[in-house]
Amino acid sequence: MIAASRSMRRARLTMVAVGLIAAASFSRDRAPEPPPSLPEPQCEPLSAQASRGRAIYRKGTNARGKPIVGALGGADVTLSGREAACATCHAPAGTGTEEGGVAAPPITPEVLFAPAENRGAYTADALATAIREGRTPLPRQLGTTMPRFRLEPAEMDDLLAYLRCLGHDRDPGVSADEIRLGAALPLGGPLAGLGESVRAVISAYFEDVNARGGVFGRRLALRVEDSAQGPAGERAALERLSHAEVFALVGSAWSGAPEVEAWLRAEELPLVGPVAAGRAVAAGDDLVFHVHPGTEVLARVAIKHLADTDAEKRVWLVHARDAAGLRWAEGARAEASRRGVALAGEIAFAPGGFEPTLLRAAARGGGGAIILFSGSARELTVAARAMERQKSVRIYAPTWVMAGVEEESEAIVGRVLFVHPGLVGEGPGRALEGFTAFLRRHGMTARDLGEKVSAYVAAGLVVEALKRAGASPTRAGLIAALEDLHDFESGLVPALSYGKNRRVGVMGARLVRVGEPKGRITAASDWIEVTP
Amino acid sequence: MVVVALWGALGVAGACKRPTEERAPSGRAAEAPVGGDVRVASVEGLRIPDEALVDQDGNAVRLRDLMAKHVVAVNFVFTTCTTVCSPMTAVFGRVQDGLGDAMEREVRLVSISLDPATDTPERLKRYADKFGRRAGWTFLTGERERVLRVLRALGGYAPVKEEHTPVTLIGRADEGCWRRVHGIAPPERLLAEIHGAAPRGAIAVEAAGR
Repeated sequence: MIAASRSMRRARLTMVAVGLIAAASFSRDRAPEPPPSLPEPQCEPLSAQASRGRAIYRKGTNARGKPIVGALGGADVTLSGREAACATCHAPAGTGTEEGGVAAPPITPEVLFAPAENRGAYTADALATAIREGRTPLPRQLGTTMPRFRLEPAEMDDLLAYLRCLGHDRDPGVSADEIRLGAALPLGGPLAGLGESVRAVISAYFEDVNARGGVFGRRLALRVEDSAQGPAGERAALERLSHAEVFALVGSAWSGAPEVEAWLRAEELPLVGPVAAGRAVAAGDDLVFHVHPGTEVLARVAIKHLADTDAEKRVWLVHARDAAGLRWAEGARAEASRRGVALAGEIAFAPGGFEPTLLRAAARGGGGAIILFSGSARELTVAARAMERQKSVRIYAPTWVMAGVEEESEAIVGRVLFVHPGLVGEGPGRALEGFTAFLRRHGMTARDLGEKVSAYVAAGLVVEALKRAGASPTRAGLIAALEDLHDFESGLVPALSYGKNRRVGVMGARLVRVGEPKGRITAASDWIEVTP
Repeated sequence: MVVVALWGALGVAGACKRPTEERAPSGRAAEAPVGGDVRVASVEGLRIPDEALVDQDGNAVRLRDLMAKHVVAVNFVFTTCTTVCSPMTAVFGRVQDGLGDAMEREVRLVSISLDPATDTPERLKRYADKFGRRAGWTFLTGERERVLRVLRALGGYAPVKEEHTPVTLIGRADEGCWRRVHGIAPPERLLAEIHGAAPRGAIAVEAAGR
């Protein structure tokens, strides 16, 4: 219901014209329907009808997921879906806005169902007329930026049912005394232990928070569903979680498969700190707040480092043709072009199919070369050995390859720089002691330590965001709170920052060496940050 | 079927001609529901700054190059806007349709971000795609200072982006004649202004089968 000023003369004409219509319909309809009463407890939880109405209000889609359409005055300019959703102008809780000099007034039931001088009192029918035709009971025409919505009768009923609860309903998973969060984790098969580890850490973290009184008096609960194998299992688990009404996902497994991402988007379900996200995860998905950078970010750090230190060397991009390798290559190419670094060549190989002869071209020619390598730890060792005689050749590899290096082969020590987005030194050592104490206190071992750390950080992150989202948390509020989070310290990973265009908490890394001294990881550069 | 429509009066002499209300495709204007508050004013002394901006595909674009040799309509939007930006962009979408194959050949539409810090090219592209952007319609963002200079020069600047009001600037940079349309004008109104700004007052539109 957008109010707009118009010339007096025009307004008077319209009032006379529409007044006649209103008078006619009034005389035909002797007993006007009484104004609907203010929302009663049926807003919590919402009725099925009001839930469908909420989808129209918030997302601009009907029960079947079809976008609703609204016409802007002239019938041929229309908005649909999200652009036409009531919440876009009137705000998710119906509080309204005056942005752009256009008044989209508050439409919470207290306001909407109270008579107002400039429009009269709304009955259900009058409201439907206002929404469809932009005409208020008084009568007056609503402003032109208020779309005239083409709603089916059933859709209108759904929307009206929700408008009586607007601002009084809670997002799924939130009740007076509990916030329910969810995680899709592998609970069977070879990764079952890992799934259980993540579940145990998040549950233990929530237990500690609940012991201190929860978040705004609400206890945190975790519901876990088995993501089984592959995207199909992941999606089915997410569907079960959504059906069970979880507010948000935390520490969930995340393949980043397009069909899963599309589903998450349709459900508007935020995912905070995916664990075991694999090495090749898109960072662009709006609802997923990653802790760790993807392989493409690590490649960008490598390029930035070598551009500052070894600009004159020839740079070879060598990678497996798997998801991680392709992202490594993509990040390297993007950053190289941004910094004017010319790549000497790109050598791609089938996963597991690396041959030392592939590096012949890179080894030729004096002056040394730089190899940006993404492959398995074994392949990295083979590559490093092949370069043993080429003293000035330096190899960069992403941190996850380091984890697979079983013995510290001499070829790797001193030759390979790993791009490492974690903490190095004594500080994290102390933080890790605190973390192992937490594990012991909750009867857990240090098995799957990496995943357990990730789960702990994810749980801490979602709790911090929930605190900032306030006493009436909404999914949109949670996302806004995360976007406002800067330099969030967990002690276990570098400080996390997010923003409107930033969905990866750690957007940088440092270069590290392994095995100098033996069994240690040592920093070979300062922290290098890249922009989102 | 090919329909060629010639808009506006031919051969109006002199620089900076001023299309009048009557020259709008008439008949419906009085009852046109969109844009009850539309106001049009000529703009004097407007110079297009020669800034390098970035389009929705991440390509560098010099504003003067983009505007040269075309009739140009410029509006100002941002992707996280709540009220007027979607209607304005939807109207541009209809203007684009109404211009048919004259888009890019004779006319360009330009939507400049009021929030360059947030509106990355990727964000603009997603937004533009929702409204069916085709060749000839460019969304621009870029370095904050550059974008702000452009907004100031074109009269789209708002110190607080939420306080911007709907404005469309229409004219030809070659001629230096511009008109500013305040309010959310219906597409027919903007089309009339665009045709009125054309050299010799005519743009041939080969209407697409819509």
